[in-house]
Amino acid sequence: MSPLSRRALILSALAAPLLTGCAGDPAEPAAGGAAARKPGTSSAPSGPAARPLARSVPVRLRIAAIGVDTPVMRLGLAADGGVRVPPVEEHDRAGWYENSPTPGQTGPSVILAHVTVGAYGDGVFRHLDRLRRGDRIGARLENGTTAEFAVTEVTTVAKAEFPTEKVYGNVDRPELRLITCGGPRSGDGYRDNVIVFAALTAGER
Amino acid sequence: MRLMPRTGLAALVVAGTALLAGATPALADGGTPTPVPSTANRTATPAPAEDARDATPAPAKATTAPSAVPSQVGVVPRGGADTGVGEPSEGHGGLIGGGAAAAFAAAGTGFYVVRRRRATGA
Repeated sequence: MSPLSRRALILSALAAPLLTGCAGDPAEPAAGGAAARKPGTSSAPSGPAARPLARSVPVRLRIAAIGVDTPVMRLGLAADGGVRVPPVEEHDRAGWYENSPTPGQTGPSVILAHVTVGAYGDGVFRHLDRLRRGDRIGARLENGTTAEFAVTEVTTVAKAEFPTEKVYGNVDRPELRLITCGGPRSGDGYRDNVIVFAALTAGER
Repeated sequence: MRLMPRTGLAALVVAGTALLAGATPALADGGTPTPVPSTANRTATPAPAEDARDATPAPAKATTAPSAVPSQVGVVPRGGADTGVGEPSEGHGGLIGGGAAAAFAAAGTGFYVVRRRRATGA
């Protein structure tokens, strides 16, 4: 083996693990298209975590990437122990689950909205599954502050396997969960839930 | 002058003994019958046991600790969210309405036939 070919062999041996590492990162979603997004660990958004905000009820939600700019109502628990959803007649608004922290407080703040509402057509979260990591979400609060979040993960899971702990469990920073339905329709409803996980990046007036 | 080699030899012996004494407990794993390793074993045996006993409550504390932390979500809802209403719901409504209308029509027809029969004395 000539010195040149030996050097090439050594170089290729060194480069092989590097190439494998780039290709083998399942956490990185592909840009555009239907990326394979498995329910996994919530990854931190780029940049430093913002300081938590004072408690204040959300009144409006803006998601420029999917054209959402909607009022936010309060939602409680249904009689069966599930979370209430906005009435079908009010398909043009989202709802904040009032037993969760307000957006910007430490913990998982939960906002829900419809994907479709029968004869009323598309719901506010019709295109929630099109969000990608890094997309911005703004929650305007009653006190005039806007809590700015960045998407960290988008996942679609069967309702039967809803990740309760991951969605409603304690976290050590202000986070946001947006929930709607998705997947194939079964009967009158949908089989899956689309869940967007986001982390606070800023709070500004 | 004659003392020097003797002192050197003694120093060597002392150093060798010290080395051996230091090395023995490190090498002993319980099989040697000499008193030194056996005492070393006795003292060594409780140590891991204590460690194990100490280690046992630690995970228990770790598992009980999170439950003591108040939940950031006051009441955790059961299951997922029904945030999608499909079109068939209106279809069902139409079917139910249609079925009720058909039942009313049949009842009305029956009532009319009975009245006609009674009126004609049949």
